[in-house]
Amino acid sequence: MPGPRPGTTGNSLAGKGNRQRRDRAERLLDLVTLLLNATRPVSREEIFAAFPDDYQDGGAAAERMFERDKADLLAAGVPLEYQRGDEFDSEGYFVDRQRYAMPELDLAPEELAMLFMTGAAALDAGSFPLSRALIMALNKITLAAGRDMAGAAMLGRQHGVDTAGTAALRLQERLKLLHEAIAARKKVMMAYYSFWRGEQTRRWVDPYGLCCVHGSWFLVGRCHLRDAIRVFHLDRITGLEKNPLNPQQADFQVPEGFRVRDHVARHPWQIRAHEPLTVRLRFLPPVAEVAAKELGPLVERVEEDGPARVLQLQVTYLEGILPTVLWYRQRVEVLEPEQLRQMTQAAWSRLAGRGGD
Amino acid sequence: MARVAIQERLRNALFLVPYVVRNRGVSVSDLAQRLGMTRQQLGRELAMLIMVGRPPFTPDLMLEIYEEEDRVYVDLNQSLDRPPALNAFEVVALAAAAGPYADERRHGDAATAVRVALEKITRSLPEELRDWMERLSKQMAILTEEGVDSYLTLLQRAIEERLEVELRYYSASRDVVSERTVRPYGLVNRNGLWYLVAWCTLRQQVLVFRLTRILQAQVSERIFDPPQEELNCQQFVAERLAIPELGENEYVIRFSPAAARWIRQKWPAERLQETGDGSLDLALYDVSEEFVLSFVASYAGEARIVEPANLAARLAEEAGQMLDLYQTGS
Repeated sequence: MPGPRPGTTGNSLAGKGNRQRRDRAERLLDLVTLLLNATRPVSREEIFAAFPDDYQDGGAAAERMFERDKADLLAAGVPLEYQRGDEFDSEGYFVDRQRYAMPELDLAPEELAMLFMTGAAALDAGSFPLSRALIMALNKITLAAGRDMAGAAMLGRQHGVDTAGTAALRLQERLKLLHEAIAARKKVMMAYYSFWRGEQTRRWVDPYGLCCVHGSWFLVGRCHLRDAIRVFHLDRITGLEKNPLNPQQADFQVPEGFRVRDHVARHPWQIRAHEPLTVRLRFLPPVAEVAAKELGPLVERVEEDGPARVLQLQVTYLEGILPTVLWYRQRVEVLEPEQLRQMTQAAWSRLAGRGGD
Repeated sequence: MARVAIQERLRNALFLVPYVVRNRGVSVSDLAQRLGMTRQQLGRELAMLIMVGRPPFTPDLMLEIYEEEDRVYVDLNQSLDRPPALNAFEVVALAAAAGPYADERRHGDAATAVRVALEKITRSLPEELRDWMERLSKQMAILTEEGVDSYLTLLQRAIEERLEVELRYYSASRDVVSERTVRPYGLVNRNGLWYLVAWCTLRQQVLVFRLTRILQAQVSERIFDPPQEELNCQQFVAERLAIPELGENEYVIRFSPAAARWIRQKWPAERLQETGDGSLDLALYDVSEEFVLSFVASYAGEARIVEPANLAARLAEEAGQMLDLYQTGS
């Protein structure tokens, strides 16, 4: 259905809105348009006069409404500024066109491609709390680059897919709340089910960061109960509330140099259970090459041993690497340390039905 | 809630106008998809946008945006011709997604490309946002498989230029290496793992390849035609990786009471059956035998194959050989 076009339908010309209430988004966009096109700062009085039906008499209610509008414009990314008057310039609000618009980023094709790929991966992770911001960021970057990406148009659609299911919705809400708490540095009261202890506890946590590993989300924060940095699996959080007191004031400081990905293990053997141990695994081809990639940059060294490859890595939780070793079955042999050899041997003994531990 | 919604509508609108300025006549559905909106939502926003203008709201001062035969046009843009700069959350979102690829432990083209891209973006930001981004981007990360960086850039280029790729690939389900020519359609990350969706000229169908199992990839100079029907690669991978709920070949795996606790957490109840002594049976259908053997082995004796019996015997035999290997020592 073609919409009515201004000028052809006799759209209101003299001033805005004979209606009592109009869409706030419309007023905010009017404001942006006004300020982007202004050749000098626009005073508050002029703004009130331009939208008489919105700001009414310019009294206290109008002031409040205008404050809210300014805050929303800033939050939406419009760099609204105020200039004090002097003998040369008038006093008022303005938007710097240079700052408003996307600058030239000058991204090379492969740089743009990597941003897209990693962005798409984050959206695929599901429940990414900044998914809408991410879609918009990628859209803006492509538009500014004047070059479309394969699959760029699909990003929005992909995002729309993952909202099904109550568990997914609950996770989304939690991530959103935690992300807000992290940005504002507000502590959260959390009810958490510890799988290892098999018990439920309540505690205050200073949320430092969020991390998604293999599709599962983790919160890293300082736990007041244990007075230490702890990692929490979001699926095991049974209750969550942000500290409602002093919302404008930060509750804590994040330690200098904190990086969330330093605290979350991507593989179970990276959990810090003991001092690092050197593990040497002898893989047969072609699995050797595959394993080298699956263990990623964690592999310190690859040695050739005939057709086989010996991979060396540091492990801080031996129990954690056992399932991976066993998964490769006959294609891998543990060379070091002796303790892991014995664990592997004991496992094969049980699998052979010979008992024995 | 309402305020977040209004800010988002504002952001959408300020992007939408310059997008249409540069892509005159873009179809309504393409535009909706790009913004992650439904057609109805987009229709409402377009209806709102035709009311936007500046005082005294004469026709030449109105935004002239309209929809005609399912396509969108802007004739008067009222200085809304450039996309707005990235805001703080958009930058944090980009950094959370791309940041882990720029980790100092990672090398190769992909890591370099990400590092440079993030640097360029950071440099473009006003100072106050830069600090904010530095802080928050360290506090959010999406970690994915790390050992595939070199193939990511290579395959992405082949996808964009529609060039056939020669693959040497290890199929874990059949435990064989084969060589084939593929037409790469898309790269998908699912649960942190990378996959390539491609038409396989060997098997004459679209297949999913795990990136870590690509032993060699070489981009050819042969250009291929895009698939006749648009393929949603993400959905395709999701469907292919799902373990069927029923099928012709049934496998039953029994877990000890100790392991059963984990399994109850991880697998849907429909697949599980309590045995009465605390053990738990898991039923799988139409998966590969290689998968079942590795899956059971990884539980270190806390799981065993109940059915089929011949597969249980095969695992026991493998276990016996492994035991010999470790007992004789190397």
